[in-house]
Amino acid sequence: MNPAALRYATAGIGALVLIAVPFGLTADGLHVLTLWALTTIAAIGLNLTLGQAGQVSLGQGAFVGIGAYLTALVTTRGWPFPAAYVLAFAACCALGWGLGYCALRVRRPYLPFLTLAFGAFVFLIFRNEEWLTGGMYGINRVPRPSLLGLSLAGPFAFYYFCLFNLVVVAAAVWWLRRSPWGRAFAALRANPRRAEAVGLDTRLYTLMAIALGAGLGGVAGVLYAALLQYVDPTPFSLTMSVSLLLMVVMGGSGRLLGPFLGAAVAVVLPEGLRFAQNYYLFGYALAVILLMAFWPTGLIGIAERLATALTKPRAVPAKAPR
Amino acid sequence: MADVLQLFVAGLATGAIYALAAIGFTLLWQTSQTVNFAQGEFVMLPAFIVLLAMNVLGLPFLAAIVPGIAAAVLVLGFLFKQAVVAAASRHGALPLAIATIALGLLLKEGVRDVAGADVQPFPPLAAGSVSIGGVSVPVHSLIAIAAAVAAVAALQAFLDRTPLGRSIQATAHNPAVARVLGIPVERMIRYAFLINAALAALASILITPVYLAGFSNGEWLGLCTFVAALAGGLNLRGAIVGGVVLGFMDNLAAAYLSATYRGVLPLVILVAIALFRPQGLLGRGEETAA
Amino acid sequence: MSALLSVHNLTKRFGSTRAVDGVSFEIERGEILAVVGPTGSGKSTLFDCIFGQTAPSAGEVRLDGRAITGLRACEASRLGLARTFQGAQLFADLSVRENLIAAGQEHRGSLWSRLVGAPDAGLADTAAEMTTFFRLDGFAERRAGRLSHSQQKLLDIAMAFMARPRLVLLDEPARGVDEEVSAHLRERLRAINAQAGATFVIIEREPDFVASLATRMLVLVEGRVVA
Repeated sequence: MNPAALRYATAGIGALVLIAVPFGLTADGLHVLTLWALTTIAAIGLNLTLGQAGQVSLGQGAFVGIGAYLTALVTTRGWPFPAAYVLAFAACCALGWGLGYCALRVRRPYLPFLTLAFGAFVFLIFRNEEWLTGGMYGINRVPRPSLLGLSLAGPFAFYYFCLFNLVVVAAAVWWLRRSPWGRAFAALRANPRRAEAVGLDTRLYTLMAIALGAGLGGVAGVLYAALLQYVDPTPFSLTMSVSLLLMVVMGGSGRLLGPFLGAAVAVVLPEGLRFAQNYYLFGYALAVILLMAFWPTGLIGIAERLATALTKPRAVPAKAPR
Repeated sequence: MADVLQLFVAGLATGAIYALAAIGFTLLWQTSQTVNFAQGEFVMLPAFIVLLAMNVLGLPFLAAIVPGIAAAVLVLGFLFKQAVVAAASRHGALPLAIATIALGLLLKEGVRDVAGADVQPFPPLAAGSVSIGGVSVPVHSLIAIAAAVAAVAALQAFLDRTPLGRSIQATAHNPAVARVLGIPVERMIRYAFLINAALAALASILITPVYLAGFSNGEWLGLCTFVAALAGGLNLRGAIVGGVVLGFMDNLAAAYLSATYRGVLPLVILVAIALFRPQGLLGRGEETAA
Repeated sequence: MSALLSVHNLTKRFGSTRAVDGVSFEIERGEILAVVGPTGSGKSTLFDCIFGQTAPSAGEVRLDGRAITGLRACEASRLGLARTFQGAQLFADLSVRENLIAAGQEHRGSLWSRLVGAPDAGLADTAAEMTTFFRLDGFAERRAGRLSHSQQKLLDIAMAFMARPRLVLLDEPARGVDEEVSAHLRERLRAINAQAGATFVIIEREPDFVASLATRMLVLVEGRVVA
């Protein structure tokens, strides 16, 4: 079986599992699965920024938070749910663009620190500006969306709604990677000097990747607010930003399915390892350091190498296809 | 008038400490293009090692500083370079950056798991206050300023006047040229890592009495280090200027503005630098991206 | 008729050294100008200044009368300039075909059309033609990093032509390639010059390659034009 077929088969099986598995889960389990789905959206966004444009953002958690708070603020005031989407996506894209624009003016590494400072400031607004965000008490009674009169409030319905969102986002990003934009990013990564010389505006493409990545973080935040039906500042700390970054890397930076796998390790795995809850982040960080030292292509890279070894037992070691 | 003097001393003390951390960070960048995202945690950790030496080994504070700095230099200097940096940088700059980010998280969670989530008090090098011109000034602040100035002066003298120091400087200015000149660049880089660990340890001991020992100190300290270093232009003199300026502005903001607005300072500084002076306060021209 | 490219008093200083020192020249459409000189005489830096890899310290560059001094390289490229680099600069991870399409895609359509339009940006046929023209048939799907040195040089040059440029700067195109490929390359360049009226500026250390090709020659020594 050739590696491409193996990949499609895995994806197909994965899709079936995602559709069928809710029926065997408890309410808690379904909650975790829904959380995984929207976390993957945030990770897909960050994968655009990191994997396509090679930029490190330490602010994705802040964009998720901005999306969540915007949603809470407008839907509790009676605005329709789609408005929250548009607002969150647009606001986060604009902010991402602004940060990226500043960062690209400086030759030295800058975006990581700028997004770090941005995240710190946004967190303080969430926590301190009670008149706007409710401070430490947050905002309550965030409604879940309804589609054409049909309520999506039930756990099953909402899960499939989030899954649908994930599929749309993943499909859009898949399309982007196949398009000339995807080629532009590949060229930008491979040889930025040559890319500029053939007319490729590396700055513009990088800005698009940063903006879109931030926007998808906002979209994830919209779903997050609707899932918990309550927003408070605590989750949107630096730890969330770092966690999202590390899960993109762990899954496999720049790989299409990387974020799915990375989010699973970050969100689903800890539930199974409840006993080690307090030490999970420590072990997670250690795993990433080891990955960076020995297998920087992440889990997908490891899986591919295994697959190649299994499907071509006697051949000369071939390069694993991307 | 009293307020101003107190603010001045406090700002200078904080700024001097930020400068120490920023100098180490800059040295790592200049010699080996290493961006140490865990620098904040490097300033958080040594204080806990000192506390450990005091509580577990029963050492008095001043004696406990010795194992604190020694352990820091060994783990955050030597081990960091040999184990983490060497391994990850083989695969490129991005894996190295991610590895240091992960290391920061590792150190933070590690300290929380071992020492708990509560902040602990940390003894100052000297307690009490003195009266200067009728104004009460904490002795610790004065010692912090003195210690930082002494460290920077010593470092400067080392870098300028000793052959080893000059080799390190050459490596920092241009590693490729240094190699051609026969300087053992790899060894110079290792020394840079050791120097960084020592500076971070010193900063830790000076700042933790004020901040109290908490596992999450690294977040804010790291941010301040990065802002100081970047605002300065990622060179050694700039790190000092950046640190001191940031220290002043931070203390002013803490005194007169709400917590939120104090927190916007790093962002404002970074944006302002990017828009109006991309090469940094003390950077050279040609730093703006085309 | 005004010159296609006019360079006036171009200077590039690095600290106290002048890599390029007051260079001035003009090229008419259809000309092939050879720039020769010893190593380190500033030839590549001259290209960098014209194309935008580096901002010149002084002087002016005009393309068809329009000032392009200090423009970013991608802007210069979109105005009809193309170049190759001394060590063949390719997108090593991408296939030959992908390299060629990448080299041409930014000149077709808009940013938006590149997102929603055809994945090959309508350049599949052009890329195939180019592959044949430069005798890279059969290597279209090979990773550029896996090509032989000569093939890489050919690909480098092919990429420069994907966008149908008005003026091409070739930086030592024949360096390190064998005799047969060198002759083939000379013939191809002559063909493009004749068919499309493309204008070239060619840097070569050895005058032999350009002797039969060039219509004019510029000699650069220590950043200054001596002939």
